[in-house]
Parts: sequence; C-alpha cells; structure tokens
Amino acid sequence: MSRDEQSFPATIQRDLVPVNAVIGFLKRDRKWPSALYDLGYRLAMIEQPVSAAAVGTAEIDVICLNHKQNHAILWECKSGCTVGEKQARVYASISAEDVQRTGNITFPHAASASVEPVYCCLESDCGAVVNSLKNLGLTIPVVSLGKQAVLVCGQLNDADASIHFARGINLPPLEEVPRFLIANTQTPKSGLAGPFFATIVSFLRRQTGKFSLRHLLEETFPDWECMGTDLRRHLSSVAREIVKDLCENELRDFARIGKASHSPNEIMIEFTVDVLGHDASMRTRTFQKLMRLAYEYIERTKENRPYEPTQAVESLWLPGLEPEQN
Amino acid sequence: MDRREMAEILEEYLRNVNVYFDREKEFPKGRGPLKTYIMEAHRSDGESLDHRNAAKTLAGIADANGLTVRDTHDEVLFQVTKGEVGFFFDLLDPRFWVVHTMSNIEQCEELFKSLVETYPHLDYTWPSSGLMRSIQGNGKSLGFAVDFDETQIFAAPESHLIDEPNAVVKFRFGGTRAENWLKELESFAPDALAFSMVKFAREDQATGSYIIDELNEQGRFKAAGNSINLHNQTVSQFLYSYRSFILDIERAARIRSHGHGEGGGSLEGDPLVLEFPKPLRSFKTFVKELVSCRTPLKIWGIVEEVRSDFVQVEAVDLHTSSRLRLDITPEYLRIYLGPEACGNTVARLLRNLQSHVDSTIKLHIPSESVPA
Repeated sequence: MSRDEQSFPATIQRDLVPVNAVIGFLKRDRKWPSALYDLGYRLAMIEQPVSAAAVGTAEIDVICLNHKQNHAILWECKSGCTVGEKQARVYASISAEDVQRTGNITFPHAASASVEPVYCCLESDCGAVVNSLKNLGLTIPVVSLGKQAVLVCGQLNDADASIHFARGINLPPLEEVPRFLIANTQTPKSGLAGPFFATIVSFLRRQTGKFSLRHLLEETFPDWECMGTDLRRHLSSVAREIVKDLCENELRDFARIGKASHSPNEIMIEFTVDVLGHDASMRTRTFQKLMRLAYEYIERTKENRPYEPTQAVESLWLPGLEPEQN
Repeated sequence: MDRREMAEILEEYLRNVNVYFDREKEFPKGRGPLKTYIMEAHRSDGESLDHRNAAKTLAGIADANGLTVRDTHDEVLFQVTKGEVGFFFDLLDPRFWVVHTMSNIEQCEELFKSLVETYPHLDYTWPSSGLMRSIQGNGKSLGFAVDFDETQIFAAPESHLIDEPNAVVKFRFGGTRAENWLKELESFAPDALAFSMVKFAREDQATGSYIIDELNEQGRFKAAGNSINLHNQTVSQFLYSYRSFILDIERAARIRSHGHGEGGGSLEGDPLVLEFPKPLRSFKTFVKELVSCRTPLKIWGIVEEVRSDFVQVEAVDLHTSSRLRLDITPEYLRIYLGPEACGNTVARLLRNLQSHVDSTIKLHIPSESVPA
C-alpha cells in the first residue's frame, strides 16, 4: 500500500495513531482490541527515558510488563517512516537491567527479568521502517497497523504474542483509535485551541475564581504527568499564547490575565463574570454563546488571522451580561 | 434530637400518610408520603468531601439560600428548614447525602431543583433502569412508570413519526399485576422501557412490619407503611448499589497519569463505551442535541467531524462541570473521563440516553477480567 492510500481525515493527527493504538492494545476498550491486555501485559510506563550503557538514551514510547512471564515489551511507535539510527541501536541494546535501573520499572523477579523491543508503524510506512532496520543490521520485530495489526518482520521472544500478531489482529478504522495521547510537539495550535477552550469552560462552570496555566494543562492532557520536559515546555508556551489571545479577544468579557501572587512570572486566569448567578435559561444561552466563540476562535487560529470583533458576535450578548461600558 | 428520635418521628409520620402517592397533591397537609432524596455532593473545587467539610458545604449552601441549619446530637445529622419546609440531612456518607422530609413535595422539588442548578457540586443520583428494577426486585412489585420520549432528542417531523413504532412511550401502572403488564410491554416496546418510577412493598411477617416504597429516576423515594427500619434498609441497599456503581466508574475510567515531571510515568484508566443496540437513525441530530447545552443532556462541546459518521468532541458536562472527551459513531459513544471527572456524569448520561434513545443501552465498566 502506498503512503497516499493510507490517508487519514484532516482532523486526525496521523503521527499519534501508532502510540494510541499500542496503548489501546493494553486497555479494555470495547471498540479496540485488547490484544496485549488479553495476553497478560499491563501498561507500565509511557514516554520513559531508558539508558543503555555505552550506547545512549532513548525515550521509550510504551513499556508493558507481563508479570507472569517476568517480561517487558518496549514499544517504539513510529510517527513516520524514518528510523533514527542511534535510537534504534539503543532500543536493540537495552537490557532488563537498564529498564529496571534507569526506567524505574519493577519486575517480579529482578535477576531473571527479560525485555525486548518492538517497532510499531502505520502500514504505509512499514516497508521503509523494515528496510531501515535491516540496513542497520538490527533484527527488531515490526508490527504494522492497517486493517489488521500484523507482525511483518521478525519474531517476538514472547511466543504467544508473536503468534497472535503474526496471525493478524483485526482493527476498526484507524481514525477510531482511542485517544489517550492527544498532543505532541507536532500538534498545530488550532488542534490545541478546542481542548484548551473546553477546559476553560469547565473551570467557568465550576465557579473557579481563577486558575493557573498548569492547572489548565493538567486538566487538558491526561498524560501531562508523563510528558518529557520538551513537550511540556512546548505545550505550556502554546497554552500561554492561546490564553492570552482569548482573554484579550473572544473571552475578554469573561476572563482576564492576572499574576500569581507567589510567582510574578506565572500567569493566572481570572474570571470576571458569574455565569451561575443567572437563571437557567440565561445560563444555557451563555454557554451556547461560549460554544460559538470557541468555533470562531478555532477557525481563526486555523486561518492564522487576527481577531476582528464582528457585529454578529456583539449581538449575541444576552440581557444582563453585556460588557461594562467604562 | 439524634438519630433515634429522628427515626421515631419518621416512623410515626409513616403510619399516618396516604399510600396513594400519585394523588399526593390532593392530600391534606401532613398526609403526603415520607420523601427521601439521595443527593451527590462534592466540595466546590471538585474535591471529595469528608465529614467536616460536608457539614461546611451544607452550611454554605444553606447560608446562600436562606435555609436554617440546626445541629443535632449526632455530628453528621442536621435539621434544615426554610419557611414551612423541613429536612433531616444525614451526612453519614459525606458524598451521598440522604435527605428525609415530611414537607410538601412541590416545595421540596422546587428547592432541590434550584440548588442543583446553582451548585455544580450538588447533583441528584441517576439510577439506570436496571438498577431501579433490581431495587424493586428486593420486594413485591406494586407498580411502575415508563417514560420514554425520543422526540426530545430526535425532533423528527410529524410525517416521520407516522412510521415510528415507539417514539413516545409513557405508561403508569399501580397494582400487583405490574409484572404481567411489563411482560406485555416488553413484547412490543422492548427498547422503550425506560423506568421513571418503580413501586414495591417489603414486609417482615414475623413482626407485621411493612413498607411501601416508590423510587424515581432521580434517586427520590416516597414511602408509607409502619416501619422506618425497612425503609432505611431499602434506602441503604440503593445507596450501596449506586455508590459502588459510581466508584467503579471513577476507579476504572478516570484517565490520569503519574510521573515525576521529567518524562515517563504511568497512565491509568480506560475509556467507557456505551453501545447503541441499534445504530442511531439520525446521527447528526443526535450529536447536535447532545452538545446543545440544553436539558436533558446538558453537555457543552466542540465537535470535530472526522467522517460523516464519526465525530470527536471536546466536552464539558454542564451539570457536574466535569471535563470529558467523546468519540461518537452511530454504533457507539466512547467517553474519556478527565482525571477529576465525576462518575455521576456517566450515570446521568446513561440515564438520559436510556430515556431518550434506547432503554436497553448498557454501560460496561471494565473489570480485571484477565489476570496479569
């Protein structure tokens, strides 16, 4: 299958599909096969840096552990078709001791623990991935994702898992993969606008007087605590940009930026309206208005254009909720 | 006042009330059934309540709404009054409050409605049809009400309704032949049996004590009989089942991570999937109504269309203010709960989908089925 043939709708971030697919195999989602969960594997870590002595360090996308077998699989979920040589050599060299010592994984029996790496990629990328690994002289198994999750190269040391993936596991359309991770450094600002806006609305409904950027990030990204520093820094910076933009424009009559009293460099977002102080129907209309503002914001972020207050937006003001004129 | 005295007062009252609950509005003052509401509460910041801050939360709500709270000799039992309306608030479980009242039902309902709408950290309980029936199954069935109305979500033109076999099913029955009627109903409206009320009796022949209870879809009991103990046992069974359901949802489905902030960590929680027994016939209308911010579903959401039959939604439950993400197809709805989301959000969504889409929709909470 050529790359073009495995196309995704524009709203799907292609490079997040493999990692979410593997996490999905370890979960119990009724609409995604629990292929690894059913074999006794449990998700141990995601995005965990592990160092192989004398080779280097790699951030392992997913580490899953089978307690009975005292065995872990280290998944590299490829977002594209290129294979980094250094990363691949680290994966190929990592020992159970490395995973325990530098990856903070506890095995049932430390001395007899075993690990193995597996690469996972989209079907359209798997030819290139397999060839790259071959050219490097590495024998890392590769699982490809298409209509099936199938082992296209090599064998796993865990015989059950190997047979299972070699036979192929039927998958739903890949865009329906459960979304555990929703952002990485490639996620465009417009892709983050909706999630951030929704979290702000939940704070507004919760009558949170003010909230910090960190709280916004923790509530928006389920994997916030696991993220590496680069990704955190990137998302914090985009969040700051979005929040400032919203408070100055679409949400200017709902919220404003303040400074945290304990740390002047940190920003706090303060709400300036009491949505709950109104009757039920007015509250409903206010939230409907926030929804329209959210769509407008996402649209202008996609088009990368500045805010232009329109008559249409102003006319949405509800009696009693008009902005103050002073 | 303490728990024993409260029980005596309530039992005395129970013996004098009229058992024809449906005609409560016609009864003279003091003859309406005993009402027991089960409410679900959090701290205003969404955190769990303990006994001390449950009492504080109650006091805060009371202050802002002109209610008077009086302590009793039991540290988790409070008498609350407003004008002619009076309640016993039992905060033995700091999250699930049991509220007994002998006051006029209309005034009580109005007060609770206003409190729940104002305070996102206060909610009704939302038993599924299945849970209601299982509570009824602990006694002798005396009646039920079915209230199914898909036109609230699929507002189809009248011409479509001509061909729709079970668009609106409203049925109320009282009597010992309840189960026979249900068998009949199941034969021609199996997907529209959304129970909005179940009525049942429990008795202890050894002591001659009995209770007639009626449970509605928002966790409210009405009771008459001669034994407050039997009533309390029934309430307690319901509370136990409902609490387990909510805690199971939160344990299994809150998606949260643990790490040191330097990269790496664990990711816990599974999404929940509600499968539609038959594909939604008007997918776009359903999605639009789901995120309309209006009752009954009251969800705010930004919809991203992935395919014409698949959307992803960044959502907020406007009832509990929980942050959610949803994936929706005509065949299923996948729910990702945020790390602090409330299980009551799922219970309410399930309940409303049973009442307005298909009464046989079930929630499967993942459990540890394969040993690790």
